[in-house]
Amino acid sequence: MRDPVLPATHGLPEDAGPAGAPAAGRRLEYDGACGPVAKIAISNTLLTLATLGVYRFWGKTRMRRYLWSRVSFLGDRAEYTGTGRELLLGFAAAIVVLALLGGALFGIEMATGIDHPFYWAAQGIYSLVVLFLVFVAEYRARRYRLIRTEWRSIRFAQDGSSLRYALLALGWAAVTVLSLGTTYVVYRTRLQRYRTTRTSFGDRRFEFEGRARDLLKTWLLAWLFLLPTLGLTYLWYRAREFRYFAEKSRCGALSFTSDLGTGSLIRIVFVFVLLTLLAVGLLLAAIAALAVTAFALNPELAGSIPWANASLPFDLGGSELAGYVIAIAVFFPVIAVLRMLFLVHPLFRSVLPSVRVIGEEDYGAIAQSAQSMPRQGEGLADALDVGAV
Amino acid sequence: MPSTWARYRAGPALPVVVRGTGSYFDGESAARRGVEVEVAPGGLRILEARAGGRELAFWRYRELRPVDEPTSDGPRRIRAGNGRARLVVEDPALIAALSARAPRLAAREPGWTRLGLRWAGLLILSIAVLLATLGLGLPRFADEAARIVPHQWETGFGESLVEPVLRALARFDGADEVAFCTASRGVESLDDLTRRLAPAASPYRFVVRVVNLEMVNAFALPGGQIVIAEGLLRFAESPDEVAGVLAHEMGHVLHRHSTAAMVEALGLAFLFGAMLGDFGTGVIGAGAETLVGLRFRREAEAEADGRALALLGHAGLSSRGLADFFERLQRKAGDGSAALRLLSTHPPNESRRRGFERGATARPPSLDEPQWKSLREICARQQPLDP
Repeated sequence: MRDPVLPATHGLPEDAGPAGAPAAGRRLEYDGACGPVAKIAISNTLLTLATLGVYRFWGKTRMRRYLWSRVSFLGDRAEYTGTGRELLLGFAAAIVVLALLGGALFGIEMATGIDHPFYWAAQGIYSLVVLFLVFVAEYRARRYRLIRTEWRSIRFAQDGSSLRYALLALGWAAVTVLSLGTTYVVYRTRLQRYRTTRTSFGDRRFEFEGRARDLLKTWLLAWLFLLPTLGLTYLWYRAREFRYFAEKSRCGALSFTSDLGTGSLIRIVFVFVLLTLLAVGLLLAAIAALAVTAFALNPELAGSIPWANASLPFDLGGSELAGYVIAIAVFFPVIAVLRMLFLVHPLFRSVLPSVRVIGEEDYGAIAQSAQSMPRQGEGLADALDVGAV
Repeated sequence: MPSTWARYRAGPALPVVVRGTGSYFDGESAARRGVEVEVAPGGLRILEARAGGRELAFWRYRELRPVDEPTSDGPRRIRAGNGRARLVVEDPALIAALSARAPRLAAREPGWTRLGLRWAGLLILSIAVLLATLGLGLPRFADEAARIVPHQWETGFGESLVEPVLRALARFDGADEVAFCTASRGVESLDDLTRRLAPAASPYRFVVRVVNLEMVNAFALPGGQIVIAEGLLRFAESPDEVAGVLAHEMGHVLHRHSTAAMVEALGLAFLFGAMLGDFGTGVIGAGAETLVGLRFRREAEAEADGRALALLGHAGLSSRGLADFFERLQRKAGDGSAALRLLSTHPPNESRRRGFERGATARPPSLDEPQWKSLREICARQQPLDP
């Protein structure tokens, strides 16, 4: 399919580097395999359950170390140098912030009662603050992940302020809502610019020249058919956006291009959604069968539930509790493993190798940057579940 | 591979000098250097890959660490301590020679026994911390927190909760519509009973109402809101039983149990959310709140019982009704599953019954015959909740 919107930069930019450089550029490579990913995902999930969630941080670290080590460029592999301890510490710090916020809201709830207008105002402000924190978390998490990513022993980095990023994001998100989504492309491009231009590899900074207007027609077309196609045009847009953003990014003498196809994104998402629905359906059927059997064997079980509470009205019996226990112990692990195996890993496999790096760089001249290392991990992002991998 | 003992004895005197090639990244620049690697006594020498090349680094064997988890394929990355430099070796002979000298490089996963012990330890520790927090820390914190909540806050909060809670209960009871029962003579009888039971110096103004639900249930909300289901009035065989239940619920209010339970539910939801990283959806938090509701504590029930006995005694009423009521309740509940009974908030038990028996002296009934009749017919007139 020809691209009517993007400028004709889809092939090669003019300065493809000095003669002798491979004209088509060098691809990023990813050679992760399903077997190890499944093994790590399953053992992580089981250990997370067994340790009541505490292992999560180490599990995440282990998975990232594997995934990162399978990404290579010019034959050299990337490395993830983060630790579980850092993630745990960051998370603990974030908890304190969220506890204070939640406590304040509860205090207002107690003081005003839940039908009072003041309470609803507080609730609204609380939601806004949480949304703001989600953006802060996103930016800080990206920073942590970049600083903990190395290639050829040189770190990536990100500076800039997470608060300014969050303000920018909140502002453009508001505009996007007010414009019924039509300006979503501005929101995407502005944030991409903020992130990219504050990213560096060693002492080389990334640059970004993308403009929202180049993507506007693509987005409006996708937006128009969003509902009739059940969101498929969104994937089409994201693939194009990825290619455009890649082409508009530079790092020193290097520029980028990508041939990410819409088809691969659709296939991945389709398989993941299908498998998840299938798994959830099968689990529900199994649980229903078990419950029916249990009640058939012991009819008094059902009859006695209303007696579980005689004084406090907030518990509506054991059945809900059982529901939550099942959700935590069965659905959570199954979906976590499916997500890793059928969403994250396939995305790595199709997105990363779609990227080609064009141009010649004297890598020996790229020096380690002086930015200080963080002592804590992703904190808020972990608490608010922002992290993608 | 030699045993640990052999390795120790041989130490730096291992005679064979193994050489090989590798790639070296020095942590200062993104250059890749081809290097010559020499397995020397005491450590690993990394030399520029040309004749007479200078030594770039010397890494002691005990500092060597693998960068990645061991795999069968692909090159091996090595670091020294927490240093930034990386060495990549692919030559199997070199890898074998290094593994023989550097214990941490030996490519094997920890055995199942060691893994098992490690995780069992962690599991026991985390369960212990969790139980300590839930069992000791959180309830105390909640009690203290409830004590500093101003009475007006409790009152306002309790009032605003009545309708949402009634709607939730109605759904649970399968009732289409929930209404307050307002037959005037019944209300008078109930108010009379409330007035006689309420302590003179109470910071709370008790508002006791009957709703048309069929469940045998009554509950207290913060600040003095007490709701009795019509089913309980039908189930009760004497006015003293109703008086006993009412006194029990007043006990909950006076001890601020609902307020504490809510603080506790919030704290627990927060803890669970924290552990499982689920603040976004709140599903797990909601589950945790349910749990706490079920756990509305035994001590709280005992406290409410104790206060009920005092209130009944002060009002000149017998606690026989309360004893009878719970006894018949237990019989009706039958032998439901042990697990459910364990979770129930009013465990039928011997010590509770004996407590009631103490105050069960013969006293005049709490309501006379016409009053009792009017109370039982209080739902002749109903006022539905606003939809």
